Amino acid sequence: MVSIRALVLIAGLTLVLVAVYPLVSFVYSSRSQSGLLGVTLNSSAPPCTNSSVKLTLTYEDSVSLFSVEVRAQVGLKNGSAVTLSAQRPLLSRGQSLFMCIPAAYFENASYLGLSVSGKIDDLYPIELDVSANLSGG
Amino acid sequence: MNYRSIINEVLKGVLDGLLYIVVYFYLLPLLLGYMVSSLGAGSYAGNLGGLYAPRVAIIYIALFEGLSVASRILKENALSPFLESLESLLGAFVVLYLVNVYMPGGYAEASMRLSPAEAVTVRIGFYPLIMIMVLAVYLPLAVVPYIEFFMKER
Repeated sequence: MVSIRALVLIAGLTLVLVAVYPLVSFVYSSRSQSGLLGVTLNSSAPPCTNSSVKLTLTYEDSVSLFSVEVRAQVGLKNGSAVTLSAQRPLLSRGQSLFMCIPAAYFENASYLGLSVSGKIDDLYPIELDVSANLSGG
Repeated sequence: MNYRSIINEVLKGVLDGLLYIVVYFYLLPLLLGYMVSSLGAGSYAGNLGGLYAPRVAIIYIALFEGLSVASRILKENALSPFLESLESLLGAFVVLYLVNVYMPGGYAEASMRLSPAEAVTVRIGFYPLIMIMVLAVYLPLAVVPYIEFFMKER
């Protein structure tokens, strides 16, 4: 006869395995492909105007990302910074998100930061920060 | 209970304790450390003893062994489920401690410098998994000894 303890342990471990599955497949998928996000910058691409640059983020992972927030920060040479943000309730593989950044910011930029936050399968929080110092060093 | 059966129960208790030590001192730190290091979020110690002062590690081993042996000897006594429950809670405490060592605040963080001017940082929160583990495995395992004891008594 199977003891109550064994049944409880099997049920608990099954729950843990179900919960860990999206995390494992997210990590596996992001490591086995070209990456998590594809980032492209296009000047004067529609629907952005001629005086702005289109920043497009394409999600590449097989596990969906929920409550996605993207923040682009442009640090200007005069010491001030401009932050632009975009939100999406869900990002699945191949879906993209864009924002139009005025080209004038890039002409005076010393720093560019991109921050993406969300929840892997609506369970595990993830934050990704990419920063580039444009003035060198 | 005669001497022979007491010695039998003590030996079983020592084996139970050894099983706990293997799981909590070696397997879990290895598994968690491997998980964190494969994410690129740092290196790991091979066992729990490496994370504690030797004196504290000895206290842990003594607690696991002591609780296992005591719950075996007192298996007919009402104290037995309490001791087994304590063992599960001690295990949960070890897991929470290890998680906090490898992933402070339940987050694993990996940073990478692509060039002198470019850097990438990824932070993943593992705390929902730890909460599920404690609620689905450790809490029920702490309650089950009481249920088993009362069912046997009835």
